[in-house]
Amino acid sequence: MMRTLFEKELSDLNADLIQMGAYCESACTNVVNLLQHENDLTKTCQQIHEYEQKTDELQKTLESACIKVIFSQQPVAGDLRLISSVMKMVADLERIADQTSDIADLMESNHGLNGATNPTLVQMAKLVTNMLHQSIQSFVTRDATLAKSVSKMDDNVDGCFKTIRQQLIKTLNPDENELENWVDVLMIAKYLERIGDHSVNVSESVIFCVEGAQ
Amino acid sequence: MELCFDVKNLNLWYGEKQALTNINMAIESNAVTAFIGPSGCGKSTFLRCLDRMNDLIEGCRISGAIIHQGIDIFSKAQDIVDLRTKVGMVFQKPNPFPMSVYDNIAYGPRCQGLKDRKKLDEIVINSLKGVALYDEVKDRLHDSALGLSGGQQQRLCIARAIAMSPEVILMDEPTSALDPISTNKIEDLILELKKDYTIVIVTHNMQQAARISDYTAFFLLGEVVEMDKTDVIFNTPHDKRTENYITGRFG
Repeated sequence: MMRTLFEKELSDLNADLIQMGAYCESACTNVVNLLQHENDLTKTCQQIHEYEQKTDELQKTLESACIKVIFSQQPVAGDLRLISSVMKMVADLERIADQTSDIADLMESNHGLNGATNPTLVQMAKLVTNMLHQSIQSFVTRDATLAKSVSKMDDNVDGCFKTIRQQLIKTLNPDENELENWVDVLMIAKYLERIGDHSVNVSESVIFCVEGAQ
Repeated sequence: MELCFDVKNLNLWYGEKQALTNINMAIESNAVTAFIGPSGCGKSTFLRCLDRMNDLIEGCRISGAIIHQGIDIFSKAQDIVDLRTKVGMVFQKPNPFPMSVYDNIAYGPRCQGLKDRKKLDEIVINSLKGVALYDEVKDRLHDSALGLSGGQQQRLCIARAIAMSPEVILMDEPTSALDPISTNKIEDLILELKKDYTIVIVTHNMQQAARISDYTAFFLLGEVVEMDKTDVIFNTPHDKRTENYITGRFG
């Protein structure tokens, strides 16, 4: 094999990106648990914040590594597509981790949310976690077909968001506490909807990496 | 697109050894076409076919055709002097004649019988300006060309080629012996020259091919594996061998 150092740098980029994706997936899984009140609230939120911090650190590591590989190795073709895809995916994954952290903040601050379970919100969280999982999986296996399936799943997430919005509108004359809960539910739904969009972006980066098509 | 050369089923042998196999290629006018490939793959041999320089090599045999302006350059209808006037060549190592800067450029036109001093002056100055060398050498036009730097000598050689008003300039690794600054100047010059000339360049520098060429052909073992727009070759090559070569995994 030629270009041993280059191969190692690409391999490290690949491994770190997958690790970053794994942190985001874990954070999303914790969000599902939070919304179902399955685990201890404080501990689960703390874990989500830790995953978010680790994601931030990996973002910096990966961006520096990508720039170094570009200026030192002058990659072309599939190698360049990999690096440019990684740079885009890093940004999306970092945003996903931020959204999970924002959801954890809301769940911690609004105690009214902790008693009730909104099944549509839970369904939405499960959907986006699955979308993110498939996006990362498609990168691991360089499977453009799997990546293409992710954007179709996003329609269901958008459908859930509309349902929650309708639920809010149909709730007439809510008392002040209930209204506050609904606003936060809508916020969480929006965060989840954004996670879905970022997961689609990740899958599109995988398609570009594998096929070269924009 | 207007074709400068239309190469059809070209084969070339050095004695018993076949060096080029079934080359088919359309070279566009007023564009830069780069040939890349590992050493010994036939790209320089093919470049030399375009001005029939291989004629000078004993035991060299060619089949197929290269159509230039409607004539097969290997046919009897082709005037070889006329072909080499239309097709200039610049080599890897700058090779100025051991004479003055002025005489280097005036040499070709003089060989063609031009004696008018005013016209010669005009050609020399315009050629030097055409390669952005005039300001650097205007005070020493009658000094030996061998006193110029490597980069200046190479630009002088390009000026010597364009003094003959060619249609095509062939360049065989024109910057491999030059420092980065001189290389940049030659690359800028190539982009400028393509407005007036068709340029075909052999290079081992992948980034150079990516920077300056419109089309890239990848040669391997005497065959053209793939030729396409340069953006395609360096972003999404179709043949795995091309990808492996340009990404540095063999060659």
